[in-house]
Amino acid sequence: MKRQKKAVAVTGLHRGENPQPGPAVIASLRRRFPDLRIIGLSYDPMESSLYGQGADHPDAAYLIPFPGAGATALLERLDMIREKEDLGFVIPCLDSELENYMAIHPQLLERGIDCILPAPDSFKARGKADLYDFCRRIGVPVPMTKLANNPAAVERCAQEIGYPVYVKGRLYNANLARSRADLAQAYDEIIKVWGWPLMVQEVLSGEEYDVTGVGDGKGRIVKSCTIRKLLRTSHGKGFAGIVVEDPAIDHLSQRIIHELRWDGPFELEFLKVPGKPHALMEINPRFPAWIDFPSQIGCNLPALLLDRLLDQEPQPLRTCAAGQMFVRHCVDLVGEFSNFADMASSGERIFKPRSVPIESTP
Amino acid sequence: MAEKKKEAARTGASQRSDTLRFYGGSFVLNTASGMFYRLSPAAEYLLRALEAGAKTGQFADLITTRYGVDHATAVRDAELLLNQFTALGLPDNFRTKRAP
Repeated sequence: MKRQKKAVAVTGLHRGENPQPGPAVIASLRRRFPDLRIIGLSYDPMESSLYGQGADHPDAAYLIPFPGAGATALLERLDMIREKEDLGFVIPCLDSELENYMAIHPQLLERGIDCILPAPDSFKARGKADLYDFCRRIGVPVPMTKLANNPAAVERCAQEIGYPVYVKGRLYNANLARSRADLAQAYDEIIKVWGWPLMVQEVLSGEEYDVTGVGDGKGRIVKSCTIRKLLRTSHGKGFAGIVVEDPAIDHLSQRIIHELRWDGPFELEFLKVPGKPHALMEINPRFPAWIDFPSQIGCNLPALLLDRLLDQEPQPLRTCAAGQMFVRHCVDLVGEFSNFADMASSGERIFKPRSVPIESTP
Repeated sequence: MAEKKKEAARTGASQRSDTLRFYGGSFVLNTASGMFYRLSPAAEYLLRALEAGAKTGQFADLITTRYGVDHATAVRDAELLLNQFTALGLPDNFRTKRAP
């Protein structure tokens, strides 16, 4: 039976130099569901999607506690938001918050709020600390990666792998160390933010490919889109991409998602060293920031996810055709300081209806 | 295949190989790797000849016929181009296409 269309909450609303997926997810949902009420769950009043006015902005936004505050704090805040919003679904868009949503999933369901999340063991297997062993077990190429729990272990791992190496945080951040002398500097900041353990990883150099899709939880990819990154930021984030049709990547992706029985959105990051097969670098448990690109060419994966949450037959999606490309474009959004002050003081902000044009200041 | 033809018509690209797509006379896109290359007129001529069924061993003769250069120059130019094509994996697309 079809469910009533309630509000959808989306996180990860900042499109800064390291863009988060939320605004692209919102834009995609609006393409299929123009009247849908979309709630932004924000960690900071300066998140860019809280300013300006467009299809990639929420109808209302609420501050929520940082993931480090834990699952209970998140649930309490969502209960407060529920007093004002008829919240039906949540689409988490940041890696760091997935564990909290997985922890409170039963309580959310009791409250009539649904979200599609991977099973805990699938989520763990794709984590940076376990990915190497997972890939080795299923025969998917992966750069050599070692886990280090203290400075001496970092040094030992780097020596065993051979310089240069990447030092990676448990969830985010990666720094290059070209020699032993670089090592401490490479991991100091990561440890301060993310703590131990660290991953020490072999450096591979080549073309980067990303696959985004939705898994059905039974081992099948419902639909996906694969791109080669055409431009990369200094953080290695894709700033332009082109659709490719490569059976080798499709085969690897299917193998990985099948093995994980992945449920929900994902992004697989591959790197292709010339003359070698694609190596899996990361599995992100969410849509990528470029998710509105496939939506614009007929492959709306966030809408597919919401169709499933609504228990309705998904609309058939087009296959992304090789050669179609995107280039990210940064714009300046206009706001008033009162926008910031409202959000920072009350923790919530209701936006004007999107149909109202923005007035220019004389 | 009909879908690929439609796509080629939409984008103005020609689609005769499974993975190589020509854009005018200047660009070729490998649709599997997403790598694209700007082509010199001679490179475009030889890649299109490969598409039409020529063998790489015929490159020197094709260059001589097309550009009227002496055979020794044509052999050297053909080798240089073939080396570049091979490094980029371009001839593989035609081998795959013609495999039984």
